[in-house]
Amino acid sequence: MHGLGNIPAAQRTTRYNPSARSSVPQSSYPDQLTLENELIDAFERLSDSTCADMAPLWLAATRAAREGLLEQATWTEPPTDRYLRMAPASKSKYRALAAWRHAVMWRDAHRLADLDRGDREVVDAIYFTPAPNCAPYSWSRSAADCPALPRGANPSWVKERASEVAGKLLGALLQEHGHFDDLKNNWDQTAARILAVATRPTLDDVLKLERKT
Amino acid sequence: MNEATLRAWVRKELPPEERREVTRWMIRCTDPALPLILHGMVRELEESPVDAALAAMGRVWSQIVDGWNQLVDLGFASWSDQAQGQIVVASADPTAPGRPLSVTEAGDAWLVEVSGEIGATVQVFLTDAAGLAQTAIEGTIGEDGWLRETIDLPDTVAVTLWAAIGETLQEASSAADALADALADDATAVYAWRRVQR
Repeated sequence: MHGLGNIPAAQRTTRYNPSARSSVPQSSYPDQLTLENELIDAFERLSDSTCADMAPLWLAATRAAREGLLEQATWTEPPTDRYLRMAPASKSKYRALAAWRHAVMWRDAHRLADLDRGDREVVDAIYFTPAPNCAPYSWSRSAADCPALPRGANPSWVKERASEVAGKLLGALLQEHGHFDDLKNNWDQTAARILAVATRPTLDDVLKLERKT
Repeated sequence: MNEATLRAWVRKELPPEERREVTRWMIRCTDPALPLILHGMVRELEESPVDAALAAMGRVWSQIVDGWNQLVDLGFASWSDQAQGQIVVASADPTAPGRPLSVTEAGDAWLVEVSGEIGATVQVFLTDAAGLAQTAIEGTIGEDGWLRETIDLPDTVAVTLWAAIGETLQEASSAADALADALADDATAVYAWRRVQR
């Protein structure tokens, strides 16, 4: 791996460093279709690159944020008791995890946070690799069928470093949210609302972040 | 949007274009019932070994459709609209005269007609939106140059029939496998028919 170091906890920060940020477009979404197509692309990759529950968790997390989209679709039949029994209690932290993962892929946060190869490997191994479809919905030492971590890596160190890098990705998204929130276009505002969901503090628990205020 | 289509989406059994439109529908749907239903369908899939096998086949199926679309892009296959906008016919032999695979409603059933060399083996495979794949027809081209047979089709939106014509077609375990084998090996022509809406 490249560029990796074991950073003491006292030096950790999850705040985004603006100086490391690359350019952000003035307005990315002239119409609903442009925004929608990007959301679809990331949504399709979300389940494939992680686990199946991420799709419904993202839909639940962003429900209110998507209300501004035109030609709203409706589901006419109520869910049957059978489905309600099967649906897991979707805790808010896992909804936030789904929203964050989607936003990382949607906004290409790896690039925005200017990650080096080693950091990408670490964060991808923990958070963006197919994992068992149950809590914690990411790499876990106790899950037998989780994919292997990078060769030779110490799991404890990788998890800790992954949290550091996850914080950088979160910081990049926070900055993106601020940018879109400043714009008046309807679709940029919708993008800002979806990014707001992806950067909620409820995420800190599952990413093991120590967010500085 | 109906439950069968949503279930087919969860199982990754829809052709790419149809899958994308269902995803668009999801993104526009803010009904709180949708995440619950999707969660339930994911659990339903995980709890059934048969369904899990179908899901695996669904992934193969998507690859096949992707492969077919690549053939279309390269000019080795074609999709063409047919009457009423309900069905699409494709051929891996675009130079074939006439309409080598035809599927038309015949009362409560569907009449499947396949043309080819007299005596050639024909296998027709059916995959429905629920991912169920089966051999629909096995036979040979008759003296008039056609094989004609009436079959029942599942009452779902997305139904695809694959007809492979060749001398020594191997028996395959699924429609997706059959198409892959046929494209790779000894089929002289492969045709697809797809009902895209009702």
